[in-house]
Amino acid sequence: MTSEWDPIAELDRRTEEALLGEGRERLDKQHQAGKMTARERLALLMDEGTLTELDRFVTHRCRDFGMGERLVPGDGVVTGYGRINGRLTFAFSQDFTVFGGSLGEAYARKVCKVMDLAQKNGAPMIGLNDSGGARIQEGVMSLAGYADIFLRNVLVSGVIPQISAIMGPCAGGAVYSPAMTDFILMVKNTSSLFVTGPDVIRAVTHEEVTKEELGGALTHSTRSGVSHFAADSEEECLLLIRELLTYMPQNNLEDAPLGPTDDDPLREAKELDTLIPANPNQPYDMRDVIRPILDHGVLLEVQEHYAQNIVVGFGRVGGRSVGIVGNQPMVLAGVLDIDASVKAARFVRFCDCFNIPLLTFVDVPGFLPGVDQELGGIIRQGSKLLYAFCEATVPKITLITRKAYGGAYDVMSSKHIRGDMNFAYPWAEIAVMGPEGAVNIIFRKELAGAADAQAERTRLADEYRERFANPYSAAGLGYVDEVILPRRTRQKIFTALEMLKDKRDTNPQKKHGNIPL
Amino acid sequence: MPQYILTRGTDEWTADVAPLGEDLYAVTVDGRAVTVDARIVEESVCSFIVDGSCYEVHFSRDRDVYTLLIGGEHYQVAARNRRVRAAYSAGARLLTGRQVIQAPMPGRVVRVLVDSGAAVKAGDPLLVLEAMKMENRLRSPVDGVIAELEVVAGQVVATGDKLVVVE
Amino acid sequence: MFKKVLVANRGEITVRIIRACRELDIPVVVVYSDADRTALHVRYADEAYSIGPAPSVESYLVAEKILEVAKKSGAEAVHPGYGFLSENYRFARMCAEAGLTFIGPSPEAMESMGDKVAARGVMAAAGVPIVPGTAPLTEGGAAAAAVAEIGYPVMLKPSAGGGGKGMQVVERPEELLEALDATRALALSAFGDGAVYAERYVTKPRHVEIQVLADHYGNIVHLFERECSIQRRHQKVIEEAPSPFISASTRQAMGEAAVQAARSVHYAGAGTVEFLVDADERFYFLEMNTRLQVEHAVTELVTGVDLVKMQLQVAAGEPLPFTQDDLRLSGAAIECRIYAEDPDRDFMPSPGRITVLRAPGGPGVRDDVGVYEGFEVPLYYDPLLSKLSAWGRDRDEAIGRMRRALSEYVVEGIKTNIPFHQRVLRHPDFLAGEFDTSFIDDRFLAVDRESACPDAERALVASAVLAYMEEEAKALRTAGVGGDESGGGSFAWRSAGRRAVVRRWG
Repeated sequence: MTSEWDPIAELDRRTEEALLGEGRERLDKQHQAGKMTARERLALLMDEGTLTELDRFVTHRCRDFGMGERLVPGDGVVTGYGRINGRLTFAFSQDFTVFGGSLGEAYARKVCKVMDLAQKNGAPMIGLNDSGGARIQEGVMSLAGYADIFLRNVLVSGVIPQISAIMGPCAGGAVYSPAMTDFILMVKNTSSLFVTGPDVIRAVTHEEVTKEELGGALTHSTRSGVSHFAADSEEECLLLIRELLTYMPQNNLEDAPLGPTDDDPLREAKELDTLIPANPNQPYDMRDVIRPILDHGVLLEVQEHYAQNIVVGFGRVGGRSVGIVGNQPMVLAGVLDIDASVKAARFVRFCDCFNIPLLTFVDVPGFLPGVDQELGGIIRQGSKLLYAFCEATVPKITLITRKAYGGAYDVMSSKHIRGDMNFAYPWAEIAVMGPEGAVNIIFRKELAGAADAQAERTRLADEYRERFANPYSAAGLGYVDEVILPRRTRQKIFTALEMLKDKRDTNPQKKHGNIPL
Repeated sequence: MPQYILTRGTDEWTADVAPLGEDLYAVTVDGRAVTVDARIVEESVCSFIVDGSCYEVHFSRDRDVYTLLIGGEHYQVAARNRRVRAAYSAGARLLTGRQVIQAPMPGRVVRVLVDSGAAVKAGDPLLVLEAMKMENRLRSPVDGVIAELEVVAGQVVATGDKLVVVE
Repeated sequence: MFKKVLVANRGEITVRIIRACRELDIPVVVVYSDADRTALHVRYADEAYSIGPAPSVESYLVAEKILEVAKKSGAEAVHPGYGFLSENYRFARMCAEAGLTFIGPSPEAMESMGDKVAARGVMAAAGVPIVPGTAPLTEGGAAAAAVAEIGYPVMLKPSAGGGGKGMQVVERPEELLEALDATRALALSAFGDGAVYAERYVTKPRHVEIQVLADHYGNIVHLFERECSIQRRHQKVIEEAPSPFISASTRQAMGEAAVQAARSVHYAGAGTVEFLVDADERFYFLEMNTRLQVEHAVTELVTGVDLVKMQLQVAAGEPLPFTQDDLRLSGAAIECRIYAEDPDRDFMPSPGRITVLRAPGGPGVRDDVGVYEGFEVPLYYDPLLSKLSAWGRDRDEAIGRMRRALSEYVVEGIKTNIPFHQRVLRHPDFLAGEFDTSFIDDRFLAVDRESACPDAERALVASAVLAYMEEEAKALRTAGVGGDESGGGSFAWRSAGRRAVVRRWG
């Protein structure tokens, strides 16, 4: 150590060097591609001035392939912690400008370190993905690095919320980390997510497909159901993460934070009295029933464009965060099918992990019939939702708005599978099946012998409807706790939530159940 | 990065507010920094002392738009927190390009609501399909023109049958 | 003096009359429509009676209902205020027939001054200068000829009208017939009488009016003038006394002419003679209003005379307590009419609930308000909220006080024309006293709005701080049992962890 060495100046120099990554040119190129840099993303994600970066000077130890000449502090990922809306949050942000954001041993160690910190401190983990994949030069060590991350994803799954944003490429094995996190957000046009890319696909199966078609934000939001949100821009994506986090607790021992309580929880919603069409064949948008009940009418819908026959999302009632599941009569008549069952099941299980009460809105005619569904395993997939609702011990409040037929009635958080409060509207129909179907079976002989079978069928169906197309047989059996006036729905739900806020319930001890997969 | 984007009319400014202690704030608007002592004195009245200069503001708020009465004149300023997402934009614009609308389940076409060649907007209903004892309105996923119309009222369709193509 | 007076009106003028009656120890009876049950005039009254649904034609304009209330309450006199039935001579007659004293002039005086064409005739006969004009116009050729005789440009006016409504300027002969049809139709619908006459349109005129007061003993005085040229579409907005424009000799001449006019119809009570004054200070009779005017306050301020009390006293048979020589102009006064209107939306009425109302005070400020904080301003009536007046030793002081008062006047929940008044009071032409009736419409409304927003920078700072405070107040709160309030730590996490560790060794 010479007397000329200024330690402070040295720190400044190294810091500046670290912030530039592989150079200003690369940072500019990132901007030109319409993307933010890794640090810019973290700065927007976290509350102003709360970001503490860790391991800024970490470099890799690879000396093969001339890598010894290319030592970049940070090694391609920016990790650290900060506060989001005042709450401690950990994050990593992959830096595409350094080695293409490729993952190597030191890089993976950085990510594991923050994940471990997140676990120990019981705070959410956010991953901003923008990476070319494994660092080939580091060979198997890259694969090991991924595995270390995957293991942690699983170990903290259900312990702390994990949210992944795909803000650039994410391919190959790397996709499995976001896949196992709780929510995936993708940025339109600049992000892609797939296991094998178009080139490999072309070579092996000779299928032609573009990157966007294969794994872009649209594809995953509408067709595969892999992602939960598609943001118009990186900014919207990051702000969406901030918003999403407000609905969940820091960890599985906490409750979600309370939002503002300036929307009267006893507010009546007169429009609900006349919203649902009297004609059971007429559809309506279930969200028009859900929104008036929530604080300020705000519903943060998850997977809005996938399996649209079921609506899932977050909202607040009286400031309390709730998870919402609702059949959507406007799409496919609100039936349950493979995609809808799986979409809702995962959401229910997330809420159950994190102490978020569930509000279920039921208007379901049954399961979707069809060879495709059967061969696609509706038996297996449909039972996932049933399993999820049965298993959940969070407060469960259910409202039957119109129909609840057959097995689907059982599945949709019915009283029998530990629904805590089950409400129904005065015109709700709870039955094994619709009037026409029931009459066809019960009166088969009579109808076969009838002079005008159609007229007779209609008459019997009307009779059946009058006798059973109401919630009172179910209410008489205690399967429905209360038949309520639609305009008072919010107040009923709020009161129920208040009553259930300290609910305790358990499942028998086990390592874990064997949910059909 | 700035905390707030202020908008008045067609002009925009950036602003930062940091607390300095009891009722004291460091406020920077487009780089101009001032120290502000602000107290709410009546329900919708705030008294400001900024670098000695004193004034009173009667305010009311609608979402993030403030209507302020200062010195008898009204001003409307929208103050949007940089880190809070603006109203969630509906994703109807998600899809682009040629869209083939197929029957999502077996049923009967009750009514066809558009003609071949008609211009439609995303969300416009195209036809009514009766299935599961329910009338389902199948809507156009994009803005476009009806390129192909494969069915007529009364026609029975199976899952996957091509119904309409919008381009 | 009367034992009980009924006020057949609403809003601020009724409050004004109640105050005068209170000062004379006279109990007051008021009437209210369904929309006015909680109005200020009802709150102030001694007795109040409901007279039906909100629309004026079903309530305040129904003479029979008013008289029924008078009978029921035992009122001895009826004060009609301004507007509504105040210039309805038939109502005055009905009051007389019912044995009630109508606080105003005789029905005959009202009738003759009510017909604007007839009034012009009376004035001409009395030697009061009038604007060259026609009789009610007939059709086509005759009308064109009559108008041509007085010379273009002309103003078409409804004979049965008043208050500046339904008037139209015609610049050229070609435009006459179409304008005539339009004015007739308007007159018919607004006043129930389609008669229209034409007057020479005095260019760049000033509107100056003289307040007169007369008793039943033949004493008639004038209380000087009011300058009312600040008008928007012929509606007065700002009035002042004295006029900054006319000379002392013109003032004297106009005063004498006004007294002459009043005498010619054997006037009693308070009234106003309106004149148009051209650039050379030549004045022409316009019309006579046989009632108290909205802007009477400025005259009260510069003369010290309580005009409403005078009305009551005269009607009760007392003589005027002063002569013309006793009356003096002292200082200057200005009045701004505060309307529930949106100046940014073409002055569209802005009904709604007044969430905040803070009236100004301090030296020289007078607020004649008819509403209160929390009141729901109805859409059925004239949207006048209050009249704000200011007095000063001279015009500059009066304007300064008015400006100061306007800046203190806070009305929230509805839009008002207060910002409009403030801008007028900053305009150099207004300050210099150089304006005429075309000032607002032609010159003022085109003014650059931006230059009238001096506190834009303060607004930005304020909005940022308020947004910040709002967020602080609404920040997420922890919900857990024994939640850790400081910095959002996880109490449950910590303690569960410790219990798990400690239990291991238990």
